[in-house]
Amino acid sequence: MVNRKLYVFYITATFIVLFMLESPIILIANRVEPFLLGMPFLVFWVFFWWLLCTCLFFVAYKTNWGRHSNN
Amino acid sequence: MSISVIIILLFMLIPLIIGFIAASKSQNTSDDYFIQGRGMGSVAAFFTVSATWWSAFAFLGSNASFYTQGPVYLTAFAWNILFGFLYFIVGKRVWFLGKKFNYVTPSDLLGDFYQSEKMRFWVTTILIISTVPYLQIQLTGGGYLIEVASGGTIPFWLAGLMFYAVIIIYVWVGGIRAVAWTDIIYGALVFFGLLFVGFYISNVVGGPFSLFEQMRAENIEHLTLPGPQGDSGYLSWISLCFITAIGAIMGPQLWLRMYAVKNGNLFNLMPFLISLVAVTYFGSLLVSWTGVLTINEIDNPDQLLPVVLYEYAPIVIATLVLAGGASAAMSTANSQIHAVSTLVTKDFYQRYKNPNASNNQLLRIGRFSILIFSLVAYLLTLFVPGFLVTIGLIGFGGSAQLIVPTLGSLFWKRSNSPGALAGLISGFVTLLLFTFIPGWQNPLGLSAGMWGLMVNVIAFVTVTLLTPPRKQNTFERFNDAMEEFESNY
Repeated sequence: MVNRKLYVFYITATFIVLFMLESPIILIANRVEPFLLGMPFLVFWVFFWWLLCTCLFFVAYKTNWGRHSNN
Repeated sequence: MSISVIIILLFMLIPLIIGFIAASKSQNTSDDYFIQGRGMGSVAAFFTVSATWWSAFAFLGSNASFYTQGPVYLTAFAWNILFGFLYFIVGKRVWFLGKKFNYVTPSDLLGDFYQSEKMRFWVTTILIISTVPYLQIQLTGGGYLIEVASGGTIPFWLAGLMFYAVIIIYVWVGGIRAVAWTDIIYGALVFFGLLFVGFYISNVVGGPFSLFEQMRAENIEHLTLPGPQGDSGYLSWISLCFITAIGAIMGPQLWLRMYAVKNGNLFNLMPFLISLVAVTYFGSLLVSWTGVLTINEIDNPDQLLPVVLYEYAPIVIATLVLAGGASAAMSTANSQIHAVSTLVTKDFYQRYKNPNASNNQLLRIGRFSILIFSLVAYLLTLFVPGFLVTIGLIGFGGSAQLIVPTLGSLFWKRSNSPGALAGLISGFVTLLLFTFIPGWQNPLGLSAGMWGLMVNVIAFVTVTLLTPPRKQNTFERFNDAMEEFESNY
């Protein structure tokens, strides 16, 4: 069965990450300070959203993106 | 003979051996040669997609960009996410339709959906025009790396020629299977090599964290947009992300790799894998910013990686990574040569010249078009190198225009042929105008490809709504197919 809510969640979450990285919001993150985890803020910002999205994609794969198993 | 030259020659030998092993596995059919009979396994599919996508543009370009333009190339993390996501959303549907209706090329799908011969013609033409310049960039980059790695022992023209010879031989004998298998080796080497080298080289200035501290103290303008030269701001950031990801996934070489995959589950995994390998850009960042701190003058920023490697790394590691870079170029070039030969054979030769062509005729035309196409690209590489950067922009920008009719075919039931054609052609013309007409280039700092996409979308939607819908029988055939997809996948 298709778990519609889960599928929509994954798609929406991906759009949110892309929005954080590619919308004008990036101009707010476009700064050196504060240094976080030893990185300039912009580097940290990109690294953070990228890592979050990569983990999300892994969970999505494990749950088959909320869709059918296709074999 | 120096150790570097031996390593490079070994690199040339490996794909040849793999090509012949792959050839021994192949069934002598055109389907096997062009799309591996839709039976490509997941590991091969992942590596061939990511190695094809990770080109010389990325390998050399990322380092040059971080070095001269500051952080704008960080947008690459987002384009990997976008690319992986599109591979899942678009790629899986394309794979399904390809399997169901037996498509081999992009214009098979778009021509069938829009029921338009003109659409077929333009899709193939735009893809071939867009692929040639991008192929030239790979060969120039690869030939150049081999020349530097051999300390000039192998001159540029010979490096380029060797490159061509090896690619032609193994694509000729092994088809897409040989390409995919060699990509496994190249892919692994490039990803791990560059990341490892990043951490290794940054130790010169005390490791990554110390590197960032020193950059803050000495080169703070490198840490934020628009970078030290002030020319790489937000519009460059989004142009790079969208045009690179969309242009790459719409390229014929990636499209064939959607059809070739055996199991649809791979498409569920791909976003994760593609996103994960973006970590390699972190290696580029570390190498480049170490270069900013330690290398004062450099003639050509594209030389940064070789210069830094030979300065700070043992010669064997340096050569291995540079040979890996050449491999990145080769693994994109081989796929492009193979893909364009497929388009010429299936879309032009078989469709218009000889519809009843036998398997052997198709294979022969496929192979000879590899030879001719490679020769043209080699001569262009030698004699018109100045064109590369300009024409290279058309490469991604051109193939990116296909995303509009493709999304239309997959997600908008109302879409029709006049709208798709109007969008595609007006988008491509806009790209040409904003690339070549002096004074019109990249208005407002947004790339010509992005302007093309915007014009494309507007024309597509407007003309579609003003013209009648598609014929009922085609409409129902695709509607049923998409419903089958939704209920099974």
